[in-house]
Amino acid sequence: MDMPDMPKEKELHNLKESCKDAIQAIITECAAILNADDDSINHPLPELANCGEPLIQLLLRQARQILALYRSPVSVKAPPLPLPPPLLLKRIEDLLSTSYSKFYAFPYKDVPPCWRRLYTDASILKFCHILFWPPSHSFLDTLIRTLDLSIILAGAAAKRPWIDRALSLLESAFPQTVPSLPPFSTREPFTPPVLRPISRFPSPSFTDFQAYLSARKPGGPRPLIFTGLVSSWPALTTSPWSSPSYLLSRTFGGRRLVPVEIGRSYVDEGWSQSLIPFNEFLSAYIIGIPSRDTTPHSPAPSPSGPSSSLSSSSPPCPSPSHNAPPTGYLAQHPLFSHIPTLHSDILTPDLCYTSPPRLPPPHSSSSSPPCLPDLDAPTAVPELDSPQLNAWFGPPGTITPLHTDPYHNLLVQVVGRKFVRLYPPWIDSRVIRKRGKENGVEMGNTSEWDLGVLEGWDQPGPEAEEAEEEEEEKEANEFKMVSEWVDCILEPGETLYIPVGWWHYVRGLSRNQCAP
Amino acid sequence: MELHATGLNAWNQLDFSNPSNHGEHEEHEEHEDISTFTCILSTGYAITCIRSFLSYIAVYTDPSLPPKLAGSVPHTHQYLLTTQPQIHRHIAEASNNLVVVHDGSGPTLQQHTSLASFLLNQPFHTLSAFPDPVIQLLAYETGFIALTSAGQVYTWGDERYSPCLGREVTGSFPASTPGLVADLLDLPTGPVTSIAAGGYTLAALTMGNDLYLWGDSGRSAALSELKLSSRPEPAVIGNEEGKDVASVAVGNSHLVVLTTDGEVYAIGDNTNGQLGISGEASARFWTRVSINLPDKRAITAVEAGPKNSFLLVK
Repeated sequence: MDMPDMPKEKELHNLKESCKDAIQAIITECAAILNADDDSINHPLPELANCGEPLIQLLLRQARQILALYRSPVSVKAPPLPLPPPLLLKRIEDLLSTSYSKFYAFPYKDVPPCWRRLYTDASILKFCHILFWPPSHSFLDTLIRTLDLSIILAGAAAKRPWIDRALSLLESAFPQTVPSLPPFSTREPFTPPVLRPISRFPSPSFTDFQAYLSARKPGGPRPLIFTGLVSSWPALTTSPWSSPSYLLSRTFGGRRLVPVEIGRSYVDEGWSQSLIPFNEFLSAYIIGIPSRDTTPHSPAPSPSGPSSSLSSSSPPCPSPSHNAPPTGYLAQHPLFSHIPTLHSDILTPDLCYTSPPRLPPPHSSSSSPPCLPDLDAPTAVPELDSPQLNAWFGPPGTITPLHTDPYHNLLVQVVGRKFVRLYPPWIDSRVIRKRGKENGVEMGNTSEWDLGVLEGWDQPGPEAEEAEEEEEEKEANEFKMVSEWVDCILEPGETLYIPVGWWHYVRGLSRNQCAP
Repeated sequence: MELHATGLNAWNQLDFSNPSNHGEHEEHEEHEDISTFTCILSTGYAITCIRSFLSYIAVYTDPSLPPKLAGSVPHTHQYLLTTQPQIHRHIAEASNNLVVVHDGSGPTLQQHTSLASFLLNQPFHTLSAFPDPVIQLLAYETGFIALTSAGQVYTWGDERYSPCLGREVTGSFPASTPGLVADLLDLPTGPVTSIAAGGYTLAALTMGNDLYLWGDSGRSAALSELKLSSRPEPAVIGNEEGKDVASVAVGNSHLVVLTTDGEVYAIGDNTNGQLGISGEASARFWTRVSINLPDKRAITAVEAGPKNSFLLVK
């Protein structure tokens, strides 16, 4: 099943030619770095130079060797290529493991770009090696995995256009057939009550929304739901994301890798991340066991924080743990830049280009709306040039714990339903129990409270039961007394505006019928 | 004295036979790794220090001589070797570029953001928390470890990997500045006499030949059976009571020890042959490494580079 019998020769030929070009580009760049004289101040060296000469020599030698072995013209009638020595692939793996270890040695945002470049170039060499000398099994999956890892782990650096093209040529050469599957189930195992509903509006104009954002309302703009903002999205109409078959057809038959969070919530013990093919994610976590919902999340261009990081730098934190089977959640992933074929199914709302107010200064003890926000307050997070687009895709019961974001968000629900509760930014940070720095990772944007447990929707984990003390009870009551929250159940096609700084708790609701 | 080595040889760094083999000319040939301990250098001098970096090895012998080099030396290291050879011998360079420099005797260290920053005389941090002179200074992946003449061990580095620090991280003893590893004070077999570090694993050896290990076990699957934590624990090697350890060395994801009865044990990743056990990709438990030496020769110490291991043989 893996190595299709008849790849399309023309597309395969084009892909191999494209590989030769990519290898030649690596050779040219490495040679330029190694031959540079001391006059390099006038001719700045490529970023890759910062890896140091020895690693560039190693990369160059492997690139030259692949090309030398592959010198014969590509044609159906070409004689078999000379086999590469096993050492070639091993040295490419040495380059990958060396650059990969650097992704952990630095905080995610500080990884020198040269290591992403080296990882990407070594990934391209590995891809070419596998394509030229296919192994007997898992040929296609290994090819896709190699390039997807360079996109997800290294950002693919400047080689992104080549990688996108290579993946697209590969799919043309090995067309996939997708099974016909029924739409995702809409059953919900549990639906929390909506007690303080957020107001709904059809679809505001750009100027209306800008005026709403700019109105100097104490505490800044409030959350809103727009019911008609994304009704023309292909994802809701002609390219239905509610269809597993459609999603498989857009992800190389489900072979593309996606990052999946295993565990109910990122603050739970035992939470981890892994990279698995999309079809495996669907069958193991969405269709097989519980069910689904899909949501692109598009923060407006305003103060932004670090984008989603796949370094496993967010460690699991002590918190309730559960013995239920693990939940898999595709969370906060820049899916649309990772798999551009899905990007055409959504349209970035114009509203993302408005200029929203910045976060009002923090108020620690007041429980009433603070005074007018200072629109010119300096903030640590720069404005975004373009909206950040992230996607969430998970079964019912997946929870994003109560947290705040450093930017304004538009949360668009595409498939299934989500419960969201929001608390205002001026809520006392002691009452909401802001976490601190945990193992060197700043968790101050996340609350310690598990809203589902407090409200009796979820069972407390064993640790939480031990911690049942008078003081705990008192603080929980104090938190429950906070009366300024709002909530909603977001329906497919609806958009929730989350103003910057608002604490939000998000819970997927729908479930598959096969579930127990 | 002889130097025996095994492991990564991507830059021909295990070949001391060719005196011009240190990156002056471009290599075109690919060299196989070495997967069993092999004599790579024999010298009439005593070998006093081995610095094994990813792509090259420097062997120090007579103080009046420059180190013998093999492999590919990055330009920054070549410059350091030429201009400040005494610094090269003691420099500690972490994988996150941070560099700590020591003159080899005093109680003060200098921390630089990178080797280039040091070479360009850019501003640096002075680390002076040490009550006694620092006698050994090493880097692990994201931080540093220093041993003082009084047998005290200090650690500092990236807080995300706090188990590597082997101590509590508090407001008064932050991760980023040298802090005393209190668990290594008043040990049953006397003070710490030497330290080793590599990857996310750290080691201390006492006067009475007990080996203590700690670190972040989540970072290397091949070392997961060591069950390392932030608390230094005695390692049990060779038999149920644990043999006395004479020498220890730590690589990126492997460890090598020499016991006082002359046996060599290794554990961890063997992808590049760094354990000296051919045929296995890794050893999850301490594994005896068989070494064939002529009768009158004896191993005096073990050393390690990121993906290499060494035996000093007299």
